[in-house]
Parts: sequence; structure tokens; C-alpha cells
Amino acid sequence: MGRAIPISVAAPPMPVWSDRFRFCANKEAFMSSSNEESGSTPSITERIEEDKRLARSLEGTYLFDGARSQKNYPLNKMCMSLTKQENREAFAADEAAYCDRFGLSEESKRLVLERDWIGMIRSGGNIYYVFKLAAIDHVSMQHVGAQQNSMTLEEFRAKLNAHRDQ
Amino acid sequence: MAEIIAAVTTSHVPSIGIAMDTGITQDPYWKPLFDGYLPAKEFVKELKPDVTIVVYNDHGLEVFLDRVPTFGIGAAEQYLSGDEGWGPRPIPPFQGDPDLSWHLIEHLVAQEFDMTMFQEMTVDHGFTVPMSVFFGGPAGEVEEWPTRVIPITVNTIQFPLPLAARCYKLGQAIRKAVDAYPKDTRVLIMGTGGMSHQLQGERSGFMQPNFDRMFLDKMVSDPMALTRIPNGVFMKEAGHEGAELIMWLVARGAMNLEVEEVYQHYHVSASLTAAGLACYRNK
Ligand SMILES: [Fe+2]
Repeated sequence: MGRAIPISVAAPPMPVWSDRFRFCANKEAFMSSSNEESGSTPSITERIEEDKRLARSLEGTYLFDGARSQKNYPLNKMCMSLTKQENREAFAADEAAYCDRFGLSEESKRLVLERDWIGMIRSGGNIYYVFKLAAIDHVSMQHVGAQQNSMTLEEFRAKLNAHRDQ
Repeated sequence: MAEIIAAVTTSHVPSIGIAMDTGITQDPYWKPLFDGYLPAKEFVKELKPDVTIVVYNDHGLEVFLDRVPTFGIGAAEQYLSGDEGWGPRPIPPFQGDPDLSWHLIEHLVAQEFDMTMFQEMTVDHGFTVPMSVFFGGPAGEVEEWPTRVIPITVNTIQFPLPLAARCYKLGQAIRKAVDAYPKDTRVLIMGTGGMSHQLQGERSGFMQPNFDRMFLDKMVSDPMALTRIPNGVFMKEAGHEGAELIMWLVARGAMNLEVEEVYQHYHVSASLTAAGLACYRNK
């Protein structure tokens, strides 16, 4: 009945895989070669693998993919519960017992009780959930960052400020 | 007829909200950032949008890891600032526009964007901080929001994240949907998140202003180039959390290919985040 309804939007090309993406400090030299230029189109599997390989190769970075999200689900779930005032009070009343309610492992419980931020991240904690625990102690993201870097707060702030010169 | 009248983009950081809510925006640490926001406030004031579509990611307020919508949209009458773990922000409620929300949902799904629909939702700093930055007074103060709002959420927490190209296409679909809305409505689209920052791991504190400046340039001159950046590359060049920049591309996709940058501000840093802001008009 009648004319066809055009539903497609002008499509940006599929992303190239990261080996072919070059970013240079000189922004004029920014380049992202298109698939046509490089001659071959990587398969979906190749693109996914390449992207993950790159993200996992970053030192001091814990790609929050499915495997990591599953790894310490109870820790993240416990931290998520701290978005409610009554839960924050229950946590404060008996931290270890509160962790047990969410089935945290003994090791994860220790990381929580000791506020071992980098330990929580390594064990599968996600920074946005873990940070809700930091908020209970009125600890800032800069404190969490400093501890993850094994730095004093002053050293970490100097590291942040050093980026101003770039 | 409805029309997208402009796009604005900005970083969203909890501590920027705390600075506004505790009245320390003129402290030496914060003053350069808040002074830089002033021209952007003038820009949106003159625009007088009826509705602002806010593209942001939920950071563990409405969305936990048990179910993660890649793209979501609010269809509520009202949105309140929620408790992310440090209490709700002391700001007025946001009025929604359910009629336009449902129109967007219908038109986005018809364009093959299968949005998760929220009839009840609270909003976190990803939403409220940019709203205060653009619509608040010099110190972020607000008596009543001068615009209705529609939240659009993008998953930027649980990998895999949507591709930059997909985010841009979502913006294009939003543009088509708004263009097809019969009521006279002036719509502002706001892209939030980024710029370069990393919060997790020993690499936390990473920022890369050169990458951010390249991104700001290409937002005007060659957004298609930005849509080709894989998320692993965003993580490498802008930090694990800096991949939030894909949300700027939703706002950019809703604009013409040719835009004029009306204003830009870039400041290192707001806590761990390189804070960028820009205002765009169609050419
Ligand atoms: Fe964010």
C-alpha cells in the first residue's frame, strides 16, 4: 500500500579495529583509516578480540567485561545496597555481618573491612559500586585514587595536576 | 513542529555537584571551572528550550549489574535526584514530558532502536550535574528548572559498551523522531560524560588532554572519524571511564553534519576528570 517508508539512517561506517587506528600526540596527525583504505574488512570476531586485547593490555586497568562482572558479583551487590540509608546504618552497625548477608568471600570481606580499594578492584569490584563504600567513610575519589596508586594524597594530586601541562 | 535547536556537551563528575551544593564554587580550586561555565549558561538561557534530552549513564542508582539496558529512556511525569550513596542532591524535581517521551519511544523503536522504557526513575550525578552546570546560576543554584527533561541512558559501565557509531546513529534517530513530533517544541540535546579520566586500578588518575582536544576539534570538523574509534581505543586514549565520550556522539548525531561551535571550555581537572564543555548550533 503506497510508497515504501525509508527507515535507514545515513550509516557511519563500522569501526576499524584498533591496530589500524592511530592517535598521535599532534592532533593534526589524528588518523583513523577506513576499511576501504586498508583493503580488508575484519570479521566481527576479529574486531571483538582485537578490542578486548587492547583494553586488557593496558597496565593497571581491569576491563569490566562479563567475566569480571561475574567474578565478584556479591561485592558489587553489597556496595549497591548502600544507596539506601537504612542499609548504610545496618552496614555501620556490623560490617562483617552485613557482608555475610550478601555472601561475600572471606577474602572480599577482609578487603571491605580494611578498605583495600585496589584489592577490591582487582577482585572484581566495579569502581562505581565500590565508591559507594568510600562515600560512607566520607572518603573522596582522590583518596581512593591515591591508595590505588600507592601514593600519598599530595603525591596523587601532583600527578593529576601534572596533566595541565600537556 | 518540534525542532532540535542546539546541542551542548559536558563532563559529569560527582564532586562538581558537591562543589555547587556546598557553596565552594569560588574556592581557588573550583573557580576556573565555574568561571568557564558562565558563557554556556548564557547560551542556554537565550535558547529557552521547552524540553532538554539528557544523554547520560546511570552509575549504580537505577541500574545494577543484574540487568543492564544498553539504551534506556525515561517516560515519567517527574524525575527526582536519587541517593547514589551520599544522599540525594538538594535540587528541585525535574518535570518530564511523557507525551514526547512516548513519541520518541515509538519513533526510535520504529527505526530499530529497541529502547528500555522507564516509567519511574530517579536520576544521578550524570544527569543532575550537567543540568545544574547549564541551567543553574553562577554557583549552580536553581529555584525551578526552566525546561522539561527526558533522560536517555547509555550503558558505559558493563563491557561491551555500544559502539561509538551506534551512539551517533541513535542521535540521528532521535533527530528524525523529534522532527516528526507535531507539537511546537524547542528541544535541546545534552551529551554528558568524559572527557579523559580513569578511576579504577593503578592507572587511575590517567588523563590525556591531547586526545580530548583532538576529540573537541573533530566534534565540529569530522564527527564521522570519531564514530570509527573502537571502545578499546577510547579506554587506551581517554581512560577506562573516559569511554563515556561515546555519549557526546549521541548529541552530535542529532545535529546537522555541519555545526558551529558557539563555545568551548576545557579544564584539567575536576577531581580525576578532565572537564570539557561545548555548545553547538546547526549551520
Ligand atoms: Fe559517568
